[in-house]
Amino acid sequence: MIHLEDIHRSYGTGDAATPALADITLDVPSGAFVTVVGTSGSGKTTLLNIIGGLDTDYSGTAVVSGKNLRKMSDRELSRFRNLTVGFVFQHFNLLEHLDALQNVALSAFFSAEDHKAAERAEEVLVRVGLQDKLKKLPGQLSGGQKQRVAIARAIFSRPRMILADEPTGNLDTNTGGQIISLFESLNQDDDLTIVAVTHEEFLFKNATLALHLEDGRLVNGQKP
Amino acid sequence: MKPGKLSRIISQNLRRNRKNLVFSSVGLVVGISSFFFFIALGHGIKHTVATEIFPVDANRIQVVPRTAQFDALAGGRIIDDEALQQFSAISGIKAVYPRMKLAFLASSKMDGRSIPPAALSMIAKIPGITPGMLGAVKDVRMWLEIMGNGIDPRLVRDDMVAGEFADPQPGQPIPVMLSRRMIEIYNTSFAKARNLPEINEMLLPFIPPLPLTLNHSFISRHVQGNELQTRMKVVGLSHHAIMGGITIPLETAKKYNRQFAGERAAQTYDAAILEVESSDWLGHAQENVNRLGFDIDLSEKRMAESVGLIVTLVTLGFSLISLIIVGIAAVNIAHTFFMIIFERRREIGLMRALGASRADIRAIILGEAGFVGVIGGAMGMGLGIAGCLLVDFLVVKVLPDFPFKPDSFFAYPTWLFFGAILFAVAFCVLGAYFPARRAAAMDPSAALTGR
Repeated sequence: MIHLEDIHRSYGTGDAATPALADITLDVPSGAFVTVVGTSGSGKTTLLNIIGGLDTDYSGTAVVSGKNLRKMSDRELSRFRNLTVGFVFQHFNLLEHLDALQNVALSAFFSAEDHKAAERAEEVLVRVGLQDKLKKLPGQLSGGQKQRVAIARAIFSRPRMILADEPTGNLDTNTGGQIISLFESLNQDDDLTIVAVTHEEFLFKNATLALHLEDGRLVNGQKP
Repeated sequence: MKPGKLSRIISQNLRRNRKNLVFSSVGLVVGISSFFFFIALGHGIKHTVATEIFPVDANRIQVVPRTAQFDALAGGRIIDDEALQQFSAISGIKAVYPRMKLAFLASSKMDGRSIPPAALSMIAKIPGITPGMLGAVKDVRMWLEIMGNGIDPRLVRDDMVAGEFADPQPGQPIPVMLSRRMIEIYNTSFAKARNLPEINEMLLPFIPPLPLTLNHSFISRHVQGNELQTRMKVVGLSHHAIMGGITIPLETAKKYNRQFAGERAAQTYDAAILEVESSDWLGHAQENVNRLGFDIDLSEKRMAESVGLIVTLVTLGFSLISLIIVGIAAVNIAHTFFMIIFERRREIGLMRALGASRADIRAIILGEAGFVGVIGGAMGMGLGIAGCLLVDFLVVKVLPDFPFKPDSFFAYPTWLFFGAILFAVAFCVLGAYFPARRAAAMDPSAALTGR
């Protein structure tokens, strides 16, 4: 599913260049549940962005779902993000002026397919347990509900992989546990590959692989 | 992105930012309204010049004998029937309309007291005629030296409103056409000052035949032969009629020229108007006319062109001011969009994460700008039209009548309506171009993390 080989990524240029990732080589099989842990600035989010095709300014090879991301045009990468990857963020990134249904269906605007967006959005909101919050604005939802909306948005286009950047970082432990249960359910029932960056590794009891990053280097990749 | 989806996302974003966009498009509305106003004003004035003051027919040219002495010595010709035939034979010529000066003197002694009572009572019934005007008509005493020419009746076919313009039967009054320009000056200056009724096409049928004496002058003592007392009846107003005199049917002019000035005068035309199939033939016709030894009289055309040029330059000047206003508005719009993009940085990053390409982001921003342009352009156009109507209203209310005062100072060519909108859209899109480029070039991972 994910094949990274000798990935290097720095921010800035020349003497001011700060390495964010170095010598990253790894393989993640399809259907895996991967956690990425490490201290702040260890390169976790950068790794996620590279896998998700949001960051292409690196050296090395990143092949995701059989596609070499660096060889793709902007349009192809956009289509890849639209159809193959679902993103979940720590701060939810919901648009405040749109209700839950509209937030979930946002990616339909950028899809070439003409699927029934409203029906699909409702279906995925039901899937994450928000059938009674369809018309609620983000401001009317709790943190856990917002993250569920964000997860519904991530699975709207039926992607093969979810990339979650500290999805429980803004939630209390109990709500965070519920969100992780939802990820586990998506991983097991829907066979979605999940890569989650977290500081709370202990919550991800069912992860199949834990990656530890330190100063941009992969310290180990092992079954937790 | 498909157009339907694009328009939905644009309308969502516009609703959110309407306050910012309304403020930034105020300049656009003002600029477009002034652009619309000045272009309409320029067109209106040009239209008045071209149709009322110096009417120019694009498919007609006026041929005159050569006037330069050298040319005359070198074989300049008079316009006679043979020349007319040669003009007709030029390819592309659709019709030839000869014009002949009256080669004898004429006069008219008008006396209001001699107007028959029946004619006076008819005049009294005309709407707008006041008893004071009727009194002024009765008091008219005018001794006029009359100049005149004869023209081909086909030229003024559309101008006849009070009778046939053709050589009259014996005993009948001579039909005459008067110059529209001369009547305009009479109406706005002469008639008003003397409380006389204004002359217009509605009034013509009620004007009784007026006295006309041929081969007579109040001034010159060199008139030979007998005078002829007759009458003239104004049957229409035409741009083809001469300014300071009367225009009569060509056959009538020939007949009286023959009677009072001889056969040569009856066979010599002072000009001929050539009508070409289309303006494409004008150059060819002019070449052949010159080759035959004649000149083209371009004085009216040149006058119209000169006035038109002045109006165009003034309009351009004002339009330039409008352009500057719209240009400043575009800068303002650019600033607003830079601000909007800064505010929406994370949202743009999210859209990129959800599958928006750079082109999609660019299209969204430019689409929003285009929509602002359409709305701003339409509002500016509305304001411009309101300004035109207000000025027209004030001119009618406030300004006194003057020659060639038009019903409206403005003309609205169809392109102006589309042009104003397109102009607004173009400037808005131009203003949003760099913000859109910046938004499209945004690194999505940096935008999402706020880096």
